[in-house]
Amino acid sequence: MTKARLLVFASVLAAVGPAYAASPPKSAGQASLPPPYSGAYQPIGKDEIGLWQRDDEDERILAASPERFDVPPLAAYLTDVLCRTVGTDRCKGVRVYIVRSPFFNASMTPNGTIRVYSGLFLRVHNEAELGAILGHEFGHFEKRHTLNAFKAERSGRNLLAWAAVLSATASNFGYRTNSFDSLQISVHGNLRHFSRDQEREADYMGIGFLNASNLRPQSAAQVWHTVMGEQEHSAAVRGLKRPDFKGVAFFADHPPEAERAESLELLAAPEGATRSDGAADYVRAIAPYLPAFLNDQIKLNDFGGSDYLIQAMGDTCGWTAPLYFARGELYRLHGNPRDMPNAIGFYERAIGADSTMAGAYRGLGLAQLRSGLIEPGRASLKTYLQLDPGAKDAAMISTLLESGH
Amino acid sequence: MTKTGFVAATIACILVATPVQAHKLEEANVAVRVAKSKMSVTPERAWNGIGGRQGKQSEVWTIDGEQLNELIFFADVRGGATLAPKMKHVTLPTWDEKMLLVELPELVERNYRVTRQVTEFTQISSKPQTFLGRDGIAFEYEYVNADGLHVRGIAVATIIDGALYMINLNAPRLNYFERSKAAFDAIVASAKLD
Repeated sequence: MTKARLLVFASVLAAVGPAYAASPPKSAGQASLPPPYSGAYQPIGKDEIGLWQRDDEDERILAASPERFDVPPLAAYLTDVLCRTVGTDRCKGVRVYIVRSPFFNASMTPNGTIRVYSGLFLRVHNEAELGAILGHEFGHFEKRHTLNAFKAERSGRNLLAWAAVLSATASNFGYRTNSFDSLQISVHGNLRHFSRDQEREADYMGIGFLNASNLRPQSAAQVWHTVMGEQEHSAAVRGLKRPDFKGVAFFADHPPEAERAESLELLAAPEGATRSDGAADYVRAIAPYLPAFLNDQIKLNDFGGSDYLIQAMGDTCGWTAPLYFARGELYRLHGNPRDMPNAIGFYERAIGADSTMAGAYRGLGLAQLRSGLIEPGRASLKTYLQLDPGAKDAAMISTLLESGH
Repeated sequence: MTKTGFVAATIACILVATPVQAHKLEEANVAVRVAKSKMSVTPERAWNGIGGRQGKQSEVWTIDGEQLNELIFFADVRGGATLAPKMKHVTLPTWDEKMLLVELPELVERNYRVTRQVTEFTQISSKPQTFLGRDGIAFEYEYVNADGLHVRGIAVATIIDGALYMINLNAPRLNYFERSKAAFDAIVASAKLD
């Protein structure tokens, strides 16, 4: 494209852009339908071209990273849900990447890469909730928030610049995900890009997409209720103060979860309440990968949060052998004598749901041995070896059966 | 104080101050007690001792730097102790005297997942091995560290009167693990309780 043509193209885009740059309403009322899509877009100006070049390089690193959960069917499913949420015309230019990380996050960069953390799959329970998150991230993308945030940071006059600096400094002392904050940004995405108003705007866009889709928009608020529940239970077990979801932490980037959940409920179109939330399809799509994601979660050593997440998924999506098994593992690894009877109960239910689940017999046997139930424990471990003779720890279990320790 | 006086005083302070030894040479073929315990080992080659940075009952050695080969001794670890220094807002897994040998790989995995920002962790194998003259376990695993590097690890451990004794090697899968493995095996074979 010549420079003159590029200028014409840019001016057309600039004219179209503000047409759908409507701000969220101050008063309650359902989110309006998204504006028509403006089509293919190329970066304009030094700032945006630079950002895209950086993101293209990050995408190259991400695509080859060992931390990428490279499972094409799951990525294709996410793309499908995104397309059904934001419309097929909008989703064409988007590439979905799944990052193996047990936390709740998703992000989208200006060049059209969307990163979804594997931990997200434990915190959403149906396609409508998933669509709400993907639509939210798409909202940041369509509103070009990254560019605005970058410009604001560079200007040095904006409060946001200081927020970014302080949050970067504080990242090592933060709450919950603190030890993961120094991960490579190219793979995991920048976790702190947007201002609170931009987050609100993206929420508004996300729910607008859902209102216009075939999915149930009322489900969007449920994601935040799940996140609040997880944080409350995590804090309670650690003996920490109950998180204050109404209060705004100084310089925190996201609107408080309670406010988000309330606004999303108000913005959802009432006529959408009878639509399907796509729970059955969601459960079927993630089933092959759920055991791995549950394993990542329970080994985070966050007993309260993990137990809440497993229960929430079981109560919402239906209890299955992998969920019972994960809960058994969680209680056994927690390790208190009082946890063992609970662990035994969960393993037994897992076996009741799937009598060929070798791992459940292993866990059951170990929990029984630790409870002093020697003979039942030995019997369970023998069944484990019969079901999985080539298990990685088969030699150790055989020795345990012979020697008793 | 004049500027020259201040500079002179500063230089004098630097010269007089006792140098702090960050590293200690662990010589070849010399028996040495590790991790402030009765466990001693005799390395076949020289190592750099770099202190007890993985908790009170630990000691770390390296050959090329701890990111390239990290040898950790844990000795006389009692119930309730962690395998890493305490971290703010993160609950670390703790050693439990009732834990079974076969559960040790899970403890090490949980410890590294939390303390080393590991999201991909694979248990490779575990098998019985005599250690310190008692029934023990040897297990291997692999993880991707926060820099996206594949790290391979091996640990040999046993439980004595409810206390954990373990020698653990972590090194990049590419080149360094194989290069350091023989030195690790020699140290494990030489380990004894005084």
